[in-house]
Amino acid sequence: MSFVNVEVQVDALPRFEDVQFHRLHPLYPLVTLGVAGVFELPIVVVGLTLVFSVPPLRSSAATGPGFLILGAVLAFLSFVAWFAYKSASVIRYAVRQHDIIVHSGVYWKKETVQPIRRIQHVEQLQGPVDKRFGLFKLKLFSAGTGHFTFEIPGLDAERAASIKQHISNFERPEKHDFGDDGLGEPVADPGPEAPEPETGADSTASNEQGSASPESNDG
Amino acid sequence: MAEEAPAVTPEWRRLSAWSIFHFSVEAVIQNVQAAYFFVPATYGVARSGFNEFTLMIPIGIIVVVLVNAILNYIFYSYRVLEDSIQVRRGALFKKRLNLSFERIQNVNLEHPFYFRPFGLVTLKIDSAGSAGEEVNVAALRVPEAEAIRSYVAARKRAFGRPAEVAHDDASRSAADVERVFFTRSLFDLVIHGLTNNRTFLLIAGIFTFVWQTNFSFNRLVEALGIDFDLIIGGWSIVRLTVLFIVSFILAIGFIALLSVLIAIVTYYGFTVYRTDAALTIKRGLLTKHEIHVRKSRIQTVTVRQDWLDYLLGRRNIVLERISHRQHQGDPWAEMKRKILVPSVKLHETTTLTDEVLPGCRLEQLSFTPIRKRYFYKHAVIRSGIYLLALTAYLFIPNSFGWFVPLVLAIWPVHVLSLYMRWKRAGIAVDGDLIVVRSGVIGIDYHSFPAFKTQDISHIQSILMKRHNVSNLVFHTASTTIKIPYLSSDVAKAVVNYCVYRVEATEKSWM
Repeated sequence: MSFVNVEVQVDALPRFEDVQFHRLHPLYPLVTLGVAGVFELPIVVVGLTLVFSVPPLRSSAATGPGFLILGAVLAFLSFVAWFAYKSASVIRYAVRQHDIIVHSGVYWKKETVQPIRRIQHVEQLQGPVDKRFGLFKLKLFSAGTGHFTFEIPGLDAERAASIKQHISNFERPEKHDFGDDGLGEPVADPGPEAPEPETGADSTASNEQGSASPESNDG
Repeated sequence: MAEEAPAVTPEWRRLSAWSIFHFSVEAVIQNVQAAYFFVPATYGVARSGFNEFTLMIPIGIIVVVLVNAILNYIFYSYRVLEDSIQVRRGALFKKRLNLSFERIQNVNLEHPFYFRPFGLVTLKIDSAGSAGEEVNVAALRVPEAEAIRSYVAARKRAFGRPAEVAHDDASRSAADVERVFFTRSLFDLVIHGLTNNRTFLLIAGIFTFVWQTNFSFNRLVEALGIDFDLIIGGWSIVRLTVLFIVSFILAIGFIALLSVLIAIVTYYGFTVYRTDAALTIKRGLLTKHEIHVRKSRIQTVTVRQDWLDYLLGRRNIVLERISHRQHQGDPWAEMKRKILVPSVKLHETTTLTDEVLPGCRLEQLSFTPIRKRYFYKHAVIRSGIYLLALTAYLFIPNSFGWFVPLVLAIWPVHVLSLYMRWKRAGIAVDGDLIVVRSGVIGIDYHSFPAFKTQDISHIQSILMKRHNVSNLVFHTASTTIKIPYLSSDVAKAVVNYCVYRVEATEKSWM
């Protein structure tokens, strides 16, 4: 057995912090803002109607403290809307040969590196609003624990497909023991229950892409 | 080889009637929280005089458990096919499980105490998939169980994917011979019981349920006919203080005793056997547990040390296996996938860690400390909170006299603990090994091979970025490891190195 022990040039390793990040689809932050607005608008409308139609509320709103509270509520709602917009617009992603990097966070900046070799399966999601604007979300699952999911939202169909393609084309030398499909789905027959209901236009379409399942390649 | 064992049977097989025990115990364990409620409730009802009704409750429970167990027994059948094991079970909700050998991770024999007189075992089969896919075949005779186990092992070897199967005597090479290499004495277990209190879990469980059911201690005392006023009404303060101190010491002593008992019952006869590729751990007084694990399946090695452990020079070593998402928050599953080696002496550590992390010498690693800013920032924030509390106190009339001394006593202790936390925290990278150190008094280590990282995050707030500090979060398949306030340059270098190890190493993390 010939043993070699090559020194690792730590400074010469590829640097994740130097990659070229891509922005999401320009519509995505606006769509997020729109969704936040749609949720907040009824609150504002109902609240203001109440304040101006109920006499005791109206009179107290005119006083100093009442005015301040009203202002604070409005400021809070606009902050929530701004925050939703901002957190959507700061998301960046980068695809390298061996890994995918997502950068996110308004105040807490977070960069997560997900080696493709560790990805177990990929989910492509499209909610009702996303569908209207032709946007997709990719969820990448590794065996990492916790409620943590690694996702890239706000992709157009072409980008989503090319990232999935990149992941499924990745050469994996080792074999997993995760069975034949690696999706963790029981092989048991479904019994009396009907197969998965078809997702309609108004529900979140979650289809586990067989083509993106890494284990389907090495079997 | 195992092919000639009578394991494969195309026809469905029933369990032995003894399995009713298994199903009863299973039901009781699953509803142990409900039991917390029933014991005091039954007692309360008994005292308040509904005697004809009182007996109904335990009898009712026993009947329900038994009927459920018998139904489970009647409707349970299984068969071993050429490449899979199939189980049919459930009276009302029929369940059919088809577990192909390829997906099987572990095959273990368990010797529960209620089967031992009959020489029966439970065959436990874990799959790589989701949590609901475990097969427990109860009340098998040992040769039957062994036949199934070695058959599964043989089939898996034929696939080229060796199973984690203990005691499979077929085709074993010299390097594979299992030998004892680590044991724990009764004395070690007593120490473990004292330093790692498991009673609190039990007591906390009882209290939560007592509290949730509006169970009144006063009413119980009344029902028992104890009149505290009569007994201690005439006592002096000194006598009451002595009573309090004595009962406090007694309570501590009782808790410690209970904890020692639990430790002995759980870890009695703790023995680790090794082969070159795998470890087998046997333990347990009433129910004998036997865990067999391939060394390569260990994802993280956690060394835990409480303050008492620190004083006594002991530490617990936890070998963590893959955890499934579904297991989150399920304490039984958590316990199962973590292999705890109790109260290891400091100099024995390397004997164990060498098995899974060869060459790992925790004491000799040079740790990069975290930035002192961690201590300053947290000390300032905590001190601010204490100051605020003291200031608020000045504005409250007629408040308690003990408040100021209490705050003044806790404050420095809290700041000191933050200082210790900063002193302890650090990261070491040595070849393929990553070790994160933490702790306040005792020292904890989380160590894992860099290539077993699943993903890694570099996190910093805008403020932290200005001061060039970062937090790191590693996810392995068994746990999440965080280290705060590293110098950003170090943190980024660690990310790059770790990612490089994952991507350049062709070894499987499984």
